[in-house]
Amino acid sequence: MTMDAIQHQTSAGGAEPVAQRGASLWADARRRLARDRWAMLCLGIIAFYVLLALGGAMYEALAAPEGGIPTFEETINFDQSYRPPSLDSLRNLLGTDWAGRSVLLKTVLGAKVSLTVGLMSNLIAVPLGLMLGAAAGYFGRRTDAVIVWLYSTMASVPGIVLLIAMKYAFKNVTFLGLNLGGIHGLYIALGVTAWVGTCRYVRAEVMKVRELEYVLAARAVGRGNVMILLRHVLPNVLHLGIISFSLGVVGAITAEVTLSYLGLGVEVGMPSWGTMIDGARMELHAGRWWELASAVGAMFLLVLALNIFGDRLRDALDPRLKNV
Amino acid sequence: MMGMNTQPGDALLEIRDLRTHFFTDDGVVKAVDGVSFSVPRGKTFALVGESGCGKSVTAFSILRLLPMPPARIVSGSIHLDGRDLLGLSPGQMRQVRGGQVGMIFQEPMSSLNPVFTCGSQIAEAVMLHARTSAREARRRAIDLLAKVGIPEPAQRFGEYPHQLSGGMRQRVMIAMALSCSPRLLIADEPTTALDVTTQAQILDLLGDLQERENLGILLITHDLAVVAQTAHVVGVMYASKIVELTSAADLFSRALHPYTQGIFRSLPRLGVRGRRLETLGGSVPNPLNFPTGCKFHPRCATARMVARTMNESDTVVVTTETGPVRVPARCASQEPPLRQEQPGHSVACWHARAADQADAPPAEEEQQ
Repeated sequence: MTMDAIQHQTSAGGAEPVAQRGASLWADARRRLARDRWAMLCLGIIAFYVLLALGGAMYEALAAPEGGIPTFEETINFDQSYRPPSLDSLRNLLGTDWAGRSVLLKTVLGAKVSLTVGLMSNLIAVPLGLMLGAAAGYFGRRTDAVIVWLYSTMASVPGIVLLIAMKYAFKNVTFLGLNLGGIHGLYIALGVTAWVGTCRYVRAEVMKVRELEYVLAARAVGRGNVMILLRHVLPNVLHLGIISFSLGVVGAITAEVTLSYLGLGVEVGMPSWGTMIDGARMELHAGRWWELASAVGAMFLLVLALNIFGDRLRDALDPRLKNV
Repeated sequence: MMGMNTQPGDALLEIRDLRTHFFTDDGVVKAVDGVSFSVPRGKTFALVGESGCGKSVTAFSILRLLPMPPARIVSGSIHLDGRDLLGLSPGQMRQVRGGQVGMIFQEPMSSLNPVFTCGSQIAEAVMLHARTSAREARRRAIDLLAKVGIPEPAQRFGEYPHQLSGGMRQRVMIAMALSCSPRLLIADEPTTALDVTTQAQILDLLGDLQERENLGILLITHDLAVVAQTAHVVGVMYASKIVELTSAADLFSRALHPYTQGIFRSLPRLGVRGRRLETLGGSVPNPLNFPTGCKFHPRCATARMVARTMNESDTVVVTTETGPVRVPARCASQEPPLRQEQPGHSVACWHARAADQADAPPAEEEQQ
């Protein structure tokens, strides 16, 4: 190998700018996402909701019964029932409910519930789907058969029926000091039913990645199966997990609303968008639209933002759409 | 004969009667069926053959990189430095992979993990076998990059595979394979995916490294030009077996197997004009249904020629893709063993001598 040849190689290999170090897949995706106005707008909306939810959580933490800041239950004031939205005060900005409580506060607290449910259930579902999908795709054979059987069974039962069944099963069950009859049970029920989609995507992708030569190369330098799976296969399918997560939050939020509407979601009395819609449905014919509108509007905007963001994220992480 | 070690234990890699079969739903595919050869220390052994002849399966069997099942090494022995690789546990085998034996692959585009930097992948290989700190591994990875002729190695360390050209990636792969100073390097079509200029550079690099590190190389290729450039000893594979085994110089000056001769006749020669290039009639036999006897007999020109000089009772008519042909009965019924025909030159053919003479006339014609 002569120096000339090396020099030649450099200029050939360095066709792309060499100075910028390490534009990884993630850095690329981040850059593409940052250029995408819609994605950024949606990210802003999501961030706004996160702040609202944090505010709601802070309020709940600070409020103490009898003294200081009144808790949400203590704001009951029947003299103020069914006030329509007005600009008079922040409290009445979105009107009041049957017990005279602020619909604005209720909506903010609902955002907290929705986002927590979305986060927690996906923290269960996505890792579960990733692990099962990766194991099925990588090891194949019997492992694959068992996992495919498991998710086919899950997928063949209507999700809502499964959720209802699980919520009933969890009634009055306490596990590790958590009351599974309430919101914790909801996380778990949503988590263990929502992994199927992630699992299928990941399995298919892992089957593809498994056959690539860098996996073979890793084996040829003496890597074992587990490390190959963790270091060479999983990082290459992780984007599927992230996309699943952002789109899965949408599913979890709508599922929470549906279940709470059916009276199977959060504990009685806990403000959530589902219970708001449930409570407001009888009042609509009396012309009291604001509680329903607030809950639906808040949910609509968040779900829309999450959906668009998830979509844009998928595009940004898809190497085939690179540089378009 | 240079490098042609026949006594076991002397060579770096010694393969005896290796049989790797695939047990599929359609039947048993005998992908490698009784292959024996040895790779001398510090020399290059080239295994040549067309697609599907079993050369890659042979290479993969050495490191046990085949999916098992369906694949199974049915019998045979593989000795590396006198140690039987087939007797090793999976854990011991992992020590051999990347430790004593490095391997590089055909497709440098997909042989590197796209989500990690090249350097970190080499460092990973270093840390896997030599227990070193991350800092030391990084230093060694940069040294390796320099050794395989990558300019500005410290800077290239932090680059991702997509930022490098195909030739560069193959260099990174070589650096990775050499990370633990192996005695043997298995190169599975290392230059097939590269353009000719880059191919020559990579082959030069392998030659340099071989000299410096006394590296034994098992080169898998279908490219006779690559063989001519790099190999010391050559095994020609056809339908799961080695049909001709000799030194590279010998093979190019006087091929004895009709298959090898047929291939050479199909190559254009510099300075020879106005002669049609010949083709090998027929196609590679289906490994699920190999012909009986010599697997090459339905396509063999020598067999047909020899049959014409024989009594009709000593010949049989066989149906081939190109129609019925008359061949010697022995070719169609008995598989020829690989036997020494000339010093250091083994051939698996019943009529190697006839084939030798048959190959000569065209050269004489040209002289006239």
